[in-house]
Amino acid sequence: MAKTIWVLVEIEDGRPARSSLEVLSKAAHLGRAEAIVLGSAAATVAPSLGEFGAEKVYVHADPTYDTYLTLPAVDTISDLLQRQQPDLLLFPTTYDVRDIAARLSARHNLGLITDATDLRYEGEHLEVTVPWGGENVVVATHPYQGTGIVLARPKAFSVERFEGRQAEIEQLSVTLRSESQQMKILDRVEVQSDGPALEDASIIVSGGRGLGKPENYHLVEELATVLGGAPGATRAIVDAGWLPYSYQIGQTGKTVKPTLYIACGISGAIQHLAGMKGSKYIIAINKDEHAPIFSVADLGIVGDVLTILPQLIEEVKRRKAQL
Amino acid sequence: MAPPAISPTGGWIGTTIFVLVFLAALTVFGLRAGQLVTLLAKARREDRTDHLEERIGDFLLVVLGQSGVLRDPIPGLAHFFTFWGFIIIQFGLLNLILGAFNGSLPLIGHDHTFAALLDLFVLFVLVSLIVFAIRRGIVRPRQLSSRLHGPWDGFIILGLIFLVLLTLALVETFGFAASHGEEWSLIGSWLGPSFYGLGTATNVVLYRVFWWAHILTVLGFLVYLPGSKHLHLMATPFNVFFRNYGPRGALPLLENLEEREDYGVSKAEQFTWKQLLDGYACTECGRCNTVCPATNTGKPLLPKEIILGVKESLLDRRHEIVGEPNLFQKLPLADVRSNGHEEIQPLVGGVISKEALWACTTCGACMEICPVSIEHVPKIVDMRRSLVMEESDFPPEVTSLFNNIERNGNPWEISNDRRAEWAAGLGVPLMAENPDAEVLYWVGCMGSFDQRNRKVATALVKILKAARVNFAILGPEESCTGDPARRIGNEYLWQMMAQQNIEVLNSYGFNTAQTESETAHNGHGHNGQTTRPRTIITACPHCFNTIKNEYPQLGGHYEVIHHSVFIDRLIREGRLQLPAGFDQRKLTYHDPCYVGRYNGVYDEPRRVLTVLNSNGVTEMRRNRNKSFCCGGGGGRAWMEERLGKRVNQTRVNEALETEAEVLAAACPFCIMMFEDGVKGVEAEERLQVEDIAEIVARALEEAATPATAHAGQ
Amino acid sequence: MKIFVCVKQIPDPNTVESKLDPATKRLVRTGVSLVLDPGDETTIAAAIKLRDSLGNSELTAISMGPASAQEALRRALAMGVDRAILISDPALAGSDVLGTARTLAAALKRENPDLIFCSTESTDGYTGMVPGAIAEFLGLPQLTFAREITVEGSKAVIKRVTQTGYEVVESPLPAVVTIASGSFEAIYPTMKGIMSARKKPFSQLSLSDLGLESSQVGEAGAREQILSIGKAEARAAGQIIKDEGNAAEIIADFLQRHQLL
Repeated sequence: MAKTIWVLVEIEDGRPARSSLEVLSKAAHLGRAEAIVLGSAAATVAPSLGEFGAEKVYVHADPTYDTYLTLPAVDTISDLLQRQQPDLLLFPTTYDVRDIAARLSARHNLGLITDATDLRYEGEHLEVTVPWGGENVVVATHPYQGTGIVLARPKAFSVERFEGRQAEIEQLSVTLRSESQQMKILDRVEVQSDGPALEDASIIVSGGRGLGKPENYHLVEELATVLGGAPGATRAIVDAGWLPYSYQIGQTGKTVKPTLYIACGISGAIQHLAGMKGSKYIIAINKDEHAPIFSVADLGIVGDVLTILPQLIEEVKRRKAQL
Repeated sequence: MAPPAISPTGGWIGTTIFVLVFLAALTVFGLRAGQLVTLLAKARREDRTDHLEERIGDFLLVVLGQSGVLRDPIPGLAHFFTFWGFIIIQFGLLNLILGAFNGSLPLIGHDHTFAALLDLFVLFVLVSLIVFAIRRGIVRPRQLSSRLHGPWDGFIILGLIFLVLLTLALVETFGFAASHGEEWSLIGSWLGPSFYGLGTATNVVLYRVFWWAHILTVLGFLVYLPGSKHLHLMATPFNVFFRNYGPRGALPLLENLEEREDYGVSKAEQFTWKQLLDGYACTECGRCNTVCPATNTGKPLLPKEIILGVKESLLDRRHEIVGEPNLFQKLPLADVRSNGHEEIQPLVGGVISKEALWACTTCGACMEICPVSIEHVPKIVDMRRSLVMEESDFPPEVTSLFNNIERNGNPWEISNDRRAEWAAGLGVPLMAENPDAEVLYWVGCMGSFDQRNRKVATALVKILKAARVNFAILGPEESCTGDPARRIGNEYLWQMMAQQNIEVLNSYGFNTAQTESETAHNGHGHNGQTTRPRTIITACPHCFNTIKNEYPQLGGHYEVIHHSVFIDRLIREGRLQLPAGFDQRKLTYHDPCYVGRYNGVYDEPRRVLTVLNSNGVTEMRRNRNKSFCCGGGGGRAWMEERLGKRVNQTRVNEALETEAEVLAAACPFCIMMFEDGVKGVEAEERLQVEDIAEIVARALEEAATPATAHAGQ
Repeated sequence: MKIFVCVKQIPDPNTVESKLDPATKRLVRTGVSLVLDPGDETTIAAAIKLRDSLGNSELTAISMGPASAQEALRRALAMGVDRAILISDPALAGSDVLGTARTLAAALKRENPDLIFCSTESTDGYTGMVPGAIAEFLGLPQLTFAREITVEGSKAVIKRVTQTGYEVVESPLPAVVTIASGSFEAIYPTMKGIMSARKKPFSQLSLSDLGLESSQVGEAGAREQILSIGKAEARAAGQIIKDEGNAAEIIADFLQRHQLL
């Protein structure tokens, strides 16, 4: 029998969030995907979810979910779990959903596997792939009968269209308890910035003396912009006065651990490496093939940073447009 | 004891008044000086009576010979004459005082030669006064300004000395005139005869008036002295006598860390009496400010203000320290300061800013130049200790340094297991594999982990192999010596690291204070038969200094040699065959502070470089003991440099001024700072930074393949 | 106020590559340097700051782990925490999120806390699920991803980190609060802190003290199970390529392969 998998779909700017749709598509491949949509915009979002793989959508259009964090959603899903036993709750990993999943797990004693990059059913058994540290990948499961929870890593799955699929829509008639209205959102503040701050950026493009002169630093900034990352710098060019101190990455300066670090014209003095070697992926472009930066790079390009950067900016733009 | 020609007091009433005034002035002076001494007595104890013979010798040289101030010749000579003039004028004064009792000094009291000498010095001092006044009033070097005593103290002193001289000259003039030459003096003989016309009676009155004026000026000076910068006149001789005779590179040990009440200094009285005496002895000449790398690059640190800040804070809190109420509080005349301060500022973060304390590179240039042996760096570190260990208040970037040293045994987030990775494939044995090695090469964290300095380590290995030295390294058994932690003020961490390293070094029998049986007992296989001293060499001056000079404080006594000295020794012993003058690039050498100033190594590296370079060593403007720090010492390599100009760039620019193509250094931190500095001033094309070992290693290659082209061409 | 902070001792994330023992399928904790989770240092700093601003409050650090976890708690005490509780029991080995949260919640319940601080996630397990589960077991609200916290009367208000900025969220007390990493500057212990840490109250609890059954926690009570441990796709060890005009493509391929575009 096909497994029933519930997916909690979040709403962003009146549309289903991309991270939710990724998970929904995956659920549709694994079995019967059923979506849960909560919040004032739930009713408008629900009909579109069939196209992304949902066979059924549970809807509760109530503004309480918009104002009060976690508990109303936990109550509603709990309520639903009293009535039906899906095989799996497959949720995206987001700020809000993490909190909901943790409480659901505790309330219903549901096994919980996080950071999944893949999952499949081997017969009756669920197998979840979870990367561990830098070296290992583990395969985990819920060792019992009944519902379990899996949180999927963002971008682990791609969004797919299920042309023509129409989801059955069920309006939930739950009454939200007043006790669940505790964590109240008083205000939402958008912090305006040109890009992410260095410390928070998941992608950093950083420049060093290999850029030659200050005028060339704009290439680093451009690449950072097209990748949606932040530009950084070595102490040498900050010292030389090309950039303010806030750009400096290193032992002195900022310590960063982005997913991707692109070092452009940086030789890799230990003082710099100390600030960025925790990055998940490191790409280095440098003329000198003996530069120490290559010793930590996942991908090292021996070449002229001034030639490569403009090409790379164009290439990234081109590929982004295709996505 | 011949009586004077004219009684200066005119009889017993005058003499009685004089005696009363004299005793009163002496009492006030005694009380005021007593207050200062009481404050010292309330400070921490410290023994400064070792090396007695040297103390006496140096005392004569520095105090009587004025060797300290004479290093700066023009004000030095002026000071020399003022000092000696002061001494001789004391005898003249004594003579004048004895006059009140119808007496005079034996032998010299009526001796014309002494009288002439006295007046010659009066004239010398007068000339010196003019020099001082011009310097203070017109040239106005920045370092002379005084926050503590205000802008006028210097001029008041000059004025008082001038008055002393003027009244003395007038006493002599009218003494000569009134006695018609019987009271002979040089000045009197020039000026006295012009006043014969006034008549003897008038001249006697004038003589007595100026005698009183002279005496009162001198007594006023005496009373003024304890509250003025001229306190140095009394304190300096003591300060010179009690100066530090231990190793210059050793910071004082903070004992009993487990049971102490305080860690470092947050209040002036937590300093030792000698540290406080420094404040009394400071002449406020400001030489320290002129050489300080922080001051010179626009940081908020002025070494002189540290010394005066400590003194100011001590005097601010004088009543609290002595205990209230006290005698000096009740007698305003006995109090060296008038109560003007409503609110007493804390010493650290008040009188002395934290930024000033963190700006210090501990380069020691201030202590080197100070003519009166003041110890600036230990004070700064003492106050840093309080900030670090009592307040946990230090630049945030230092936190990871401390954590890394403690957890990983090196300043970075690198497992110490990887310490020997640099040597892979070089055939370098670990001590564990070669426990009988004669030489332990202490690689240090920079040599072990920093890519740039790994090249230096590799070069040094090449040299050791070429000279057939039986050596080994410790590999993962070696940990950070703790030097940066200690100089930043984390004494606890330094002691932790030092003990750990001492244990390792002792286990291989390097401790020179260790008995053979102890060594054998440790069972590391060292055969105990070797009687040759086993040596530790290192390319890191900071490791070198702390192991050599500071580990003995915790019982670790080792023979430690800096690699520049060791290489020089190998060359002189003929163990290295090097092509003389093979390097034709113009080269300058930078003296690392902890090799040069702190350990007196200046000649050996120069000798090595001079042999190898066809042009010899082109000196920078500031060299040898006047060398200007790279900016990396005192833990500064691990802190941001947010204020002012960059120290490293300042020094690199000095190297560029010599038009040298190579900046030779002998310290991994200097190399790191200069590599950054060269990039910072964008001079990569013009100036290479190289360690002395790298140059020697290239010479060895040259020797092996004479056909290749010269390096750098 | 009675404030608590949950902490964890982990293999030093900066120098130790975290590894799983293929036999026990648990984190390798022997022969590696163990430290107080750096994230917890931040959280402790936040808790100390709040305690000091409130006055008349006590801050207790609580940890579940083997005996060695004492060291992590000592560090917390040296940083300025007032009291420490270690829950240690052989039966706890192999606990999953629920087992851990259940145990910590049981210990916290005995103390009637007003505020419980946790890090958003541990640096080694990074599930981020324990704080929420503790809150659920205790029936308390949870304020998560806080980068600032203030307490006004019987309410706590936080700035909660979001993708694009932050939300201001309030909740009644008692509550569980999780602190976003890097929001507070970790406290380096003073000597006084280090010395007094040896004398501060330190209690140790076992499972029976908490009234829990060994079947509810540890491996026995785990609701998740590791089936196998494999090697990650070998991270191509430093591929160094000379640019022959196609560098941009090579880099773009790399980015696409790792979902970085």
